[in-house]
Amino acid sequence: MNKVDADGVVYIVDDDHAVRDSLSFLMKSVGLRSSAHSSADEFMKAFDPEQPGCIVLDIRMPGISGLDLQEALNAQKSITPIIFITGHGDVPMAVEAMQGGAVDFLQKPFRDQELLDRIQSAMQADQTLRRELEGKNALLKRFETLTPREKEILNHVVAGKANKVIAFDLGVSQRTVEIHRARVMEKMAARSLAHLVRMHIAMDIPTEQGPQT
Amino acid sequence: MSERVPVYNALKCNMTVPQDTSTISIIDADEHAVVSVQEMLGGLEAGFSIYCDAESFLLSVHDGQPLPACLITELLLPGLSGLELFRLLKANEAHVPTVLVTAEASVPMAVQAIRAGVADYFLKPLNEPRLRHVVATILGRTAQQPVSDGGMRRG
Repeated sequence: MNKVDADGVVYIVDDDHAVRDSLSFLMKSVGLRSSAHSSADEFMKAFDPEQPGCIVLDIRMPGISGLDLQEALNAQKSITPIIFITGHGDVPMAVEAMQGGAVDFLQKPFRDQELLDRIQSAMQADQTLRRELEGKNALLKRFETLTPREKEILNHVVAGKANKVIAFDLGVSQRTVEIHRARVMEKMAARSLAHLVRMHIAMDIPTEQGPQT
Repeated sequence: MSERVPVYNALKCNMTVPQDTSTISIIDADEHAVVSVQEMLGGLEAGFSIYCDAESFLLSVHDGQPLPACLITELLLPGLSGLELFRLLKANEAHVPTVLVTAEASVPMAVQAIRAGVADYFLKPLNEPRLRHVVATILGRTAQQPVSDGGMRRG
């Protein structure tokens, strides 16, 4: 069987202990870490949104239902993917779950491999997304070390303007622009102008004027 | 069958199809179903264009009919299914917010449809208030932003 990156945790939330046991065993058998919970409340106490992984969630549970839990997780901007499992799912429920952002909705009984495949693709997507977000945050951190003037120069540089033009626009000497520009490249750890432009795009900051803060 | 090729290519030759923000297209082979959808959506200020299958819808687009603001199609149609039609439109960058309706209570099919990006998936008999709400929302959004994406997925 295919292995998933051992980094992630598979949260199992189901009020039926037989299901929890068999899923925990299944995860263990393919080398996945799992964390099983009998209710949404119990799960919320253990859940770490920063941890990569996925949530295998029973849709019908006493107390907080799977769909309510999904809504609560969406409200706190969790990006951890949810795979719903259900013994008696109907179409409106499946539609609601999927529209709420679930990555999948499986009806019991399902084959072990079917669930494992879904878990694997969910966890891969989760890791990719987290890596992207991490990359973006790291860039923003670098960006915040720039002085207001350097940010201004950065915006001009990524707009494709030559130093001469920037100097004219800002009413400073070309030498000053060169020095600022070098500082920007250094602080942003940019290997080239193209690299700087790519980082700027990744940060998603408006080009014309730097941000207000 | 010989007619299928031009139909499949219809969109390709007509990529920048205009969108009519006040038309709802309904595709269903069952006349009664069409009438009942029309009645349910009577209060909305929109016109209807009716087709009995996906192919005739595509042909009308090929003949220069603007894309509708909203497409309500039965899943099970004689030729291309409602979902296949949606996928074909999407693949050709014709973003038409689409509502699938069907009597087939299949969870995997519903999951597949929402994942493909359809706006909603209804079982017959239709829930009238919900259908009205969904279509009104789509029309409102399309009016603001002429070529909008059909999907409602999280970003």
